[in-house]
Amino acid sequence: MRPFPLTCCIIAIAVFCLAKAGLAESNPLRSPDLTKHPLYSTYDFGKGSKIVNFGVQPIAVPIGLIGEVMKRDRILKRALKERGWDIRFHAFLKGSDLNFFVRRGSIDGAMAGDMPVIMTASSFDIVIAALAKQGFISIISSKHMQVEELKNKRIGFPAGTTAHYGLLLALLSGGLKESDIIPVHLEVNELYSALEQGRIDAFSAWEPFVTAALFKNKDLTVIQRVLSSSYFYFSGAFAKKNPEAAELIAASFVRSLQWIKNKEKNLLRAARWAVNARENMTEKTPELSLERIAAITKEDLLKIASSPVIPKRDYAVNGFLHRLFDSLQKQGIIAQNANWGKVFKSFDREIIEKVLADPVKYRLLDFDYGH
Amino acid sequence: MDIKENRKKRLSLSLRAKMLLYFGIAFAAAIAINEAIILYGIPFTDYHGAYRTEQARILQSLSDFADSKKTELQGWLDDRSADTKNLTGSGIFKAQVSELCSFAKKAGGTGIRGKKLASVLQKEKAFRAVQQKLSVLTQSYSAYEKIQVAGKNGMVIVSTETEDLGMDVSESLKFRKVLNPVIDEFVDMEKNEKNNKLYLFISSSINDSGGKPLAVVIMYSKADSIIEPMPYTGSALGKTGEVVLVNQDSKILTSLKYPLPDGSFAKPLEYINPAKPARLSASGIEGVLAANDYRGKRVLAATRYIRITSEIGWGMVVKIDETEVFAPIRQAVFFNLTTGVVICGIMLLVIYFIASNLSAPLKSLSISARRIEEGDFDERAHISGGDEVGMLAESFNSMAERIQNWHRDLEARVRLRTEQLNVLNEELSKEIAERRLVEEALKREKETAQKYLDIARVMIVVINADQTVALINKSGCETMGYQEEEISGKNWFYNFLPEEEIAGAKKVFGQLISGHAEPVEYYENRILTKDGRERLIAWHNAYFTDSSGRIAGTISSGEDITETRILEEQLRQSQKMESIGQLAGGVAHDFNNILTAIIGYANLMRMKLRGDDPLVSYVDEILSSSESAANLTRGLLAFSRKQIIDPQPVNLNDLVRGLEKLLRRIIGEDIELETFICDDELPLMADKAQLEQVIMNLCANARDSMPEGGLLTIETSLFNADESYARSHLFEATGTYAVLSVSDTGAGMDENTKERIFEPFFTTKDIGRGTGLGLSIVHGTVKQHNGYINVYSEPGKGTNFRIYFPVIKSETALKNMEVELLPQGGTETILVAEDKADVKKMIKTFLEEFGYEVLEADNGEEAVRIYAENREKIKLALLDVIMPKMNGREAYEEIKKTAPDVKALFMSGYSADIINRKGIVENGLEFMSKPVPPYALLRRIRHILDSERRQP
Repeated sequence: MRPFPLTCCIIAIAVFCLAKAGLAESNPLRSPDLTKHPLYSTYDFGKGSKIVNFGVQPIAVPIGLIGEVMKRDRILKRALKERGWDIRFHAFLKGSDLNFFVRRGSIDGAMAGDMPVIMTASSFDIVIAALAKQGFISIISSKHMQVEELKNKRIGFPAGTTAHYGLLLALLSGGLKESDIIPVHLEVNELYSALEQGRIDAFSAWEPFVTAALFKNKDLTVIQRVLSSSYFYFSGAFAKKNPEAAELIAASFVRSLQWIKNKEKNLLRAARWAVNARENMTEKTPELSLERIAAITKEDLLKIASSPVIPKRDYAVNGFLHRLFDSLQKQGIIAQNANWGKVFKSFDREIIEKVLADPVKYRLLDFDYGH
Repeated sequence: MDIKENRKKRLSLSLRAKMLLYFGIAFAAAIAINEAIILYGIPFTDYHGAYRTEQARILQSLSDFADSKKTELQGWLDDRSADTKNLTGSGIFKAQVSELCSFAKKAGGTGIRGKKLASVLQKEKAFRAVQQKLSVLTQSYSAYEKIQVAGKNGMVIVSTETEDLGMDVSESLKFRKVLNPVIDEFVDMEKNEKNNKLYLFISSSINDSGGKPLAVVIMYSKADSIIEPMPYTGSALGKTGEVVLVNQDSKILTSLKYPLPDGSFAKPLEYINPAKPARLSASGIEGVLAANDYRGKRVLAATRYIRITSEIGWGMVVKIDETEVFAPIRQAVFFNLTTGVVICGIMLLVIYFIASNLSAPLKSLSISARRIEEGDFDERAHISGGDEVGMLAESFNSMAERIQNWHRDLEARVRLRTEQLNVLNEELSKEIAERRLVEEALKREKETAQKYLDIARVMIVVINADQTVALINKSGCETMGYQEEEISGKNWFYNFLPEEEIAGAKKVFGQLISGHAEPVEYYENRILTKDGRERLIAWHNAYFTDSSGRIAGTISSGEDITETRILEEQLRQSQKMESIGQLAGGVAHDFNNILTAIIGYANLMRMKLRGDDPLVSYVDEILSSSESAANLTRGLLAFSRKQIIDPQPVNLNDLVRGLEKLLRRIIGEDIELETFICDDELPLMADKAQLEQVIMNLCANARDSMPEGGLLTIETSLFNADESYARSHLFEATGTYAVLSVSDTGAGMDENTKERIFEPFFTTKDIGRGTGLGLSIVHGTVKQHNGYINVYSEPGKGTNFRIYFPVIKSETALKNMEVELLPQGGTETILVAEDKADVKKMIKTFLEEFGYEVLEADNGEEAVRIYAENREKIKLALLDVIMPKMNGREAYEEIKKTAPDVKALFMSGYSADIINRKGIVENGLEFMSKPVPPYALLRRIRHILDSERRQP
């Protein structure tokens, strides 16, 4: 009797099943259960009561600053309280984490990059109300190369984030797909060390991590920079059930922009609040100074501060968001049965235009921020 | 292909040419590889080659240049933004504008508008102050073409160009966008329709202390003077370097350096640049790439994106043609290649001389070799020196010498051998001619022998000592159904004999081969034909010897005696039955005579005895036993064909149909009866009663062979016996026969039983269960009707009797037959006198079933009495001849006294011979022998009743 073939079959099946299970768990685009996350599991969303839960990303510049300013907006808190509401701000490491809680109904409003917002809009009902940032995602390498030369290279990026989006658009411009590279899924704050240690050949990241990396190593080269956006949005259920609360929060968002824009001092204060929030969350000191963070904010935020209204060309048919959606769908990152029409309908400029049209009612030029 | 052609193929290139070719290829490959490495680098190393290195260098410089240009442009835009903010943030400026706005509002209230209002405003101090401030700004920076201030209603209240005063800009975006205090700045480009020039404008609101808009400042910069110089590259990017600016829709913002592919020049804000670098830069992607530009030319480019507002951004492409970038490299390549080719040429020239020097002695040697090969054995190679080639020439000459000697020797041998061969050839020719004559004679002889074999009517088979068939003639092949080649060469015994014959035949063959031919000269055995049938062959055998006298095989002539043997067997059986028949007939005849005496005297005794005499019962027993004996003799007479028959036209099919119901009663419930009546008419000339008896006997026999039940099948058919069939089955005449087939699924019979079944008193039944005459009667009856009977039976499988009767063709007979064959009943009253209760009961039941009324009598006296009582009613008296008290004849005579027209039908178990003695048949009275077939009885009764003729 020769047990070899049977044993081999059993081992092969077991290995296959384990590998499949492992792959399924390791798929970075499939949200793990974040309710048990050491940080997020401590959050109290006050389910059932009249509490607005707002998600922010302190480690992202400049939307981290806006979140911190909004968190201290007493005008907003008073206005909501008068209507029986309370508001809580919750910090997240990245947009895809934040959107896990949006889909669960725990988070009512947030700011996040284009990729997580588009991916959420493709499968969940959200209202994308305003443009929160317009900056660059950069592909960084230790040596000069063209995008086409990224083929078969190991590239690090946080999956499902705006850095992922930037990388996809960069590859697309060079006629490549994600399958042409060797993706290495890392957290944004791990990318630089991975490149330095030679574990990856290049990485894709957002600010301030790009500036920080270039500041630390002058030999690094920006292969390509891709314009990306971040958006201010609500869960669809919240915006539809509570339009007044949504307007008050949108007003707070515009007010925050105005306040930061008004004085350099305000900008630096906002940067400090963001740095503190980041330290509280990650227990790490940022590599960049407040001034440099302020400069990035100026570059990415204040130059568009003249109007947070989302440019129609962003989400027009064949606009860059539409092309991104198609590309993600072709690569299987967005489900095949998702359709662009649903994403398109998620963009709603009405709230922000209503707020902008009546600066007095929404107290856009009055400022009262705590510490 | 001859040697010369081979040589041509092998030596298509000379040594010199080969050397030149190989070295030439080697040099060319070396140059090409060298150039390829210089240009494209070495794979898997850090050396990337001139092309890539130069490309990287240029892309880096383009990138640096693009960054500087972007910074420059961004800085200029920031300056303009700062100018606007400074102006709108100035308290004095705000106050002056506020004053002017108030004045304009008042003037507007009095109905002054447009240019008139503008001229009124010009007189105001505030107007002059504001205009002066704006003029200073335009003159100081030369960045602005003009600056306007519009009131909240959109009317231009101050401008550096006085013709603009009073203009309404309220509908323009640059005005409407910035009226919202939250949106403090708006930047875009527009084309002035009047002068067809491009302007970049920045608008911003002037707010009061409460943040509410008072007015809007719009600052215009002429693109020609401000934006156009931006893309200027100077000498930094070489001759073909260019900076292209596009807006977010890829429309060009500045004039292009080169015309479009169709020769036209693109217009700013109209032409959409479709090239990849422009599209990438307009969509916010910054990087470097090699792609085609708007002309379709290959360029190296760096792309940048300049954000103006969230909705507006400009793409910048800094590019240079690849042809210019790589021109130095191409020049270097050309130089390297030219140099390489020249060096290669020189080298090849040197190689040519070397190769010529080396190959000359070899060529001379080659020519000498060729001459020798062509037959010039005196040729010798020139010895040029003592080097390797000289040594080779010496060796060659030595070899040529030896070849020349061998050649001479060989030629002498060939001449001698040729002469010998000529002599031998002549002898051989003669021998061949003689042999041909012999072969022809043999061939003719063989053909003659073959003809003899083929015309022989018997099989001739020649078998080799190894048991294979050496020859079989035509008749043999025909008998066996094979072609000759299917038999020849195969083992005779194992291929063409039934298994049970092999041992015997091989024994005979062994005896023949061992020389003992006499005992086995004649032998019979069966052979197998191709279709699997067996044929019985009578062989006459002999052996034959080979040239050395040894026995080489056997030769046998065989006659097919299959049919002969069957006929012999049938004849023997027929003769046997004939003999038995004659014997039985003779015995029956004599026995009848004896019975006549016994019955006669017994009757006499009975007449002499008184009715109460105790001897009467003994006499009656004698008479009863005599009747049983008469039954036996009747059977024997039937077998010996001496019974009286009454042939009438009969349709066998109707006969079988009519009997079917009765047969079902005879065979019982356990046996299933199936009848298959053919569609053809089967008219016979036969005694219907006898035929019915035949069928009933066969069915009774079948029933007895199936005690556990089974299937009895009766089938009729028409059969044409041709000459061969008639001959092989001993039919006396050819013609059409009606076939009656009776089959059962019973025990069947072995061959011995089958041979004896028709013999009288032969029975396989238990003692007392059968007379042994049933099938004998069948046989006798069939023969008496000129018919034939065949029996097919196998133990365990059943038995099939096939009886053949000659068919008659008369149409009249057929018509009569149709009428007569249907048994008919009636309603008349019939007197039945019979002393045997069971017989009487059977007849009564049967007649009543057919509608007759039956009166019964147990003896003659009772019959007379009953007839007397029912004279009018009784139409026929059915009388047993032998009855106690008064026999049938006596009872008839008694009745006749009172009823002379009485119709009567007698029946008796005595044979016709005995009855004749009783004076019944002779007197023309109607008579039927017992056992009376029911339907025959019915028909006879109907016939008598319908007859007008009075009985005697």
